[in-house]
Amino acid sequence: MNLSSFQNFLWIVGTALKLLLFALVLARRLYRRLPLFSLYVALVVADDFALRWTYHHFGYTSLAAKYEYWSSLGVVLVARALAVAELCWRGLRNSVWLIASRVLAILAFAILAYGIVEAAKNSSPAITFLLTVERSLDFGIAIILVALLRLGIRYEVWIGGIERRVLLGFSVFSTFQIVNNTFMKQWMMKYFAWWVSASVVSFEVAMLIWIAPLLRPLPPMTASPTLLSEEESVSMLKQVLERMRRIAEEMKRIARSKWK
Amino acid sequence: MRVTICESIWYRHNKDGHYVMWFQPTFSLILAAALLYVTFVYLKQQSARERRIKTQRDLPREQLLAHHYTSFVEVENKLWAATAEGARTANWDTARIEFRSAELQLVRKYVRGLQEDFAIGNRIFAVVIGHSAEVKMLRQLEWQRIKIEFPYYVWHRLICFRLWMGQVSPGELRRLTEIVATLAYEVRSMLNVFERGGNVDFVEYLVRKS
Repeated sequence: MNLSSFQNFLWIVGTALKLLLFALVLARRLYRRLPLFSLYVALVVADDFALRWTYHHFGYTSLAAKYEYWSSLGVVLVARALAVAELCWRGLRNSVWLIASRVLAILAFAILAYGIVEAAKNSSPAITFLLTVERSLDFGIAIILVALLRLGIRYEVWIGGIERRVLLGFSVFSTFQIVNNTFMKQWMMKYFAWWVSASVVSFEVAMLIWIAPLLRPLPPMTASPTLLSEEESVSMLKQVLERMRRIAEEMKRIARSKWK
Repeated sequence: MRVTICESIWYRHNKDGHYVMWFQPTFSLILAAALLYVTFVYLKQQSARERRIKTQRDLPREQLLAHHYTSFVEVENKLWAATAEGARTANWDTARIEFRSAELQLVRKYVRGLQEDFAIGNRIFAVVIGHSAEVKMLRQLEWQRIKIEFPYYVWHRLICFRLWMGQVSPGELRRLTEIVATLAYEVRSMLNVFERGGNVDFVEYLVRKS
């Protein structure tokens, strides 16, 4: 079985975008700001070339293609998870990282445990493990992104322009992936080739979102000043909390006296 | 190859019954919609914040803190004056009075002001909570915040509903004002604590750049 001309076209566009993105990551020195995201981009490019070479030499349905596909999938998956974790850390490190890190750790553990349990039930554990981890990772990434954004909105935590675009790209891709993972299995099997192409297109859209801000030079990276040190925050917030409790008590007392 | 693996997994799951079959697609759709929605809200709020920081750079500090709630007495007096004498009962606080559009407009404007006040206070509160270095402290502060937030949203929705019906209850308006005033007082007291501790830059950041 060979790829159709449309699939080939998508692949060529995808490869061109990946190369452009990788070149821009290097040219704009994004690896200094987001090293794990840059690593993810590099691995995506390497994976693309390795897969293309394998398909060209051994064929689309060969055993070599199978091993190459599944092993590279694992590596790229881990890189994607790390890139999202980096985004969380960069976004929340000055603020609610204390809570976020625990939530993220629990989610990561749950994803891994789910993958292992599902793999243990199947006769082809390695591939099932990767497939299950991919599916749970897509869910996990979506849940983590929702949690990150909700925490950002709740605690007024804002991120820089480039990080915002990376986040938007991951959101678009993950949204498509989770819908894809669900509906492909249930209703879209007959249209598998089209559905895979749609998945490729969603990644290309994400790449365009990442490429756009890199076309212009990035603003210089400035470390945000520490406005409130950790020790100070503990003692100050204790006082704040004490005052709040007193205010709440006073309000209760006033309310009670009104009703009497 | 991938198709076969996907199918085998799915068929095995299908035998378990409808639970997996319907729960997973529903959950996926909800999750996908939630992700797109929060991404949109987050990006919109971040743009709004950038615009706000630019516009409030040179404003006096008093205007950057909650201040609309202080005009409650004025609003209440106007409502009292506009109420027909027969309707001015001893139960003024619990009465639900139907007003003309001019008074309803006045109340709507006042409620919008309260909404702004609440947004300012809640924003400063959020940034302060975000700086907690201890989880226990964060939990306690968050609890204080929820104790204000929850009644605010309940009373706000109720008053908006009454306004939509063409009615105003002075007692409910007073209750909402009290909640916003409490938050404003707590925020001012918070800023005082930081200022007295010598964290003037942090206070400036909270007021102008949060």
